[in-house]
Formats: sequence, structure tokens, C-alpha cells
Amino acid sequence: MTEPRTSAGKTAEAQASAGPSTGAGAQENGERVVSTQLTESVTGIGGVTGLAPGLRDMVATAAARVMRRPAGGPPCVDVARSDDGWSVRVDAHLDDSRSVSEIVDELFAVIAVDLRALIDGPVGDIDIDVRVVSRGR
Amino acid sequence: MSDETADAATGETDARLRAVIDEYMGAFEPDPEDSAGLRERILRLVRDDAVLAPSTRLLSERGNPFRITTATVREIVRAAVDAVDGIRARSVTVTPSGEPEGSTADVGLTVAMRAGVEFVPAAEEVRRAIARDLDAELGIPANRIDITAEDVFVSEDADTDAAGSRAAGSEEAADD
Repeated sequence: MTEPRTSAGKTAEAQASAGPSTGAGAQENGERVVSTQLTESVTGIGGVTGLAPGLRDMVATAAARVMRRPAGGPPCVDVARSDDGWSVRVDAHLDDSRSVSEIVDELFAVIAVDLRALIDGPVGDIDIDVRVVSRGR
Repeated sequence: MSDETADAATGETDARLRAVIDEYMGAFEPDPEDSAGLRERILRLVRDDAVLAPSTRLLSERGNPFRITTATVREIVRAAVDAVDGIRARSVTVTPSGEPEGSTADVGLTVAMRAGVEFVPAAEEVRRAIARDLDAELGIPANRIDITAEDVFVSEDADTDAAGSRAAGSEEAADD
């Protein structure tokens, strides 16, 4: 396994934003900041060629279809904070440069390291849900 | 295959999905004419998408759980089988196995064999190819591989050769 790439050390602003806060808006903002950083880290892992829509993207796309409005931006890592900790969902497209298992292990390592670097204070439980959507050649 | 069936996929995602829809609706005020039944319509669309791509649950080498689309796993097995001379994969199932479940995979497949190919050595070659590719490409060892030969085919080469012979024979006959 290659050394996990993390965004630690370049996220001072993100760390401040993602730290403990009050209110639903602040929490949503924190989740968005973490999602942006994790998306950057995850898509930088060897063998990950891109992200597929996660639940939030699918909901936004479905809502756009129902209301005949333009859909949102590109897919990103789904991040949700709860009382117990953080949930992270990655829907990834891979290539065949490495085994799926090896890439999954690096995804877990990178996400855990990045979350701890981004969050100011105790992180709590980290629930990581990885779904491999495709594996190209 | 241990797919997420329609019900399982729906059950797994429903609570989370409803939470995400609530969050989305909380941050976005739809027009009154759009809001009627909007949550249920969104839920139905996302469920439909989830059902279209069932997944298999496996464990990485380090024991991290992940899901991979069933079609992707089948493709790896099919490629391994089809690389064996005289064998063509038909149906493929992959079931998570081992302790803990998902650390290994059980494979079941039906194949078509070219006429004249001996089943036992061909089946052993297929088993080796599947085990090798699952380990190399998925990182998951195969626990059990069951193969059922359900059909025999005549190779295209043999057909071509036979057609060529027949044509040559006709020309020879015409020359006579």
C-alpha cells in the first residue's frame, strides 16, 4: 500500500470551520468543508478514477428531475455528523491498477487520518461506507 | 449472488435517505406547486436507481467492509473463465463467505464447453484462473468454486474449416 495521501497540514481554514459549532447551519457548513477536503484526498488515491453520486447527490439529482431544474455540482464524498461521530460514504469508480481491496484499505486510512486532522476536538466514531461502482481497465 | 435485492437496498438506505431528503428540503424551499408529494417522489427515484445497481458486501485484506457492484465482480469472474480455451461463462454467482463473512467468496458458475474439451482438466484450469483473478483484482480469496457444464458448442474455427472443406469439395466436384 502506498502512503496515504491526506489533506492534513493545508487545511487550517477548513479545520476552524469544521470544528465544534452550534446550530444546523453551522453543522451543515462543517460537513460541507470536510466533504470538500475528503473529496480532494479520496480522488487523489491511486486507482480511484472518480466519484459516483452518493446519497446527497442522488437526492439533489432526483429533486432536480422532479422539479425540472438544473442538478447540482460534481459528485463528492458524503459526510454527516451525528452525536456519536462522523459518517462518511464514498461511491467510487476505480481502475485496475491495484486490487480493489488495497484501494479500499487506503480509502479507510486516508479518511480516518483526514477527519482527525480536520476536526478540532474529539472525532468520535468514524463510520466509513465504501461502495465500488465500477472498475475500468 | 448475495446481492442487495430491491428490498434490502431499500431497507438499508431508507432511514438515511429520508434524513438526507429532509436535510435537502430544509435547505431548499420548493415552489408550492412543486412541493406536493415531493419527498416521496424523490425517495422513489433514488430507490429505483439503487435497485438498478445491486452490490455485494466483502471485506478487504485488513478487514474493512466495502460494497462492490455485482456486475463488476461478475465481470472479473467472466473474464477469467473466458480466458480458458474452450470454455465460455454463462451465469455467474458470487456469495460472500468465510469468517468473518465477506473475507472470502464462493463462486458458482455455469459454462458452455467446446465439443471435444475434457471437462475435468478444463474445470481445474477454470478454478485456477478464477482464484488467481479474484485474489489479484479484488484482493479476495476464493473459498469454493462450483462449475456446472450446461451446454456444448462447436467452435467457429471448426465451422469455418468444415465450411471450407465443403466448398473445396464442391469445387472439386464441379471441376470433375
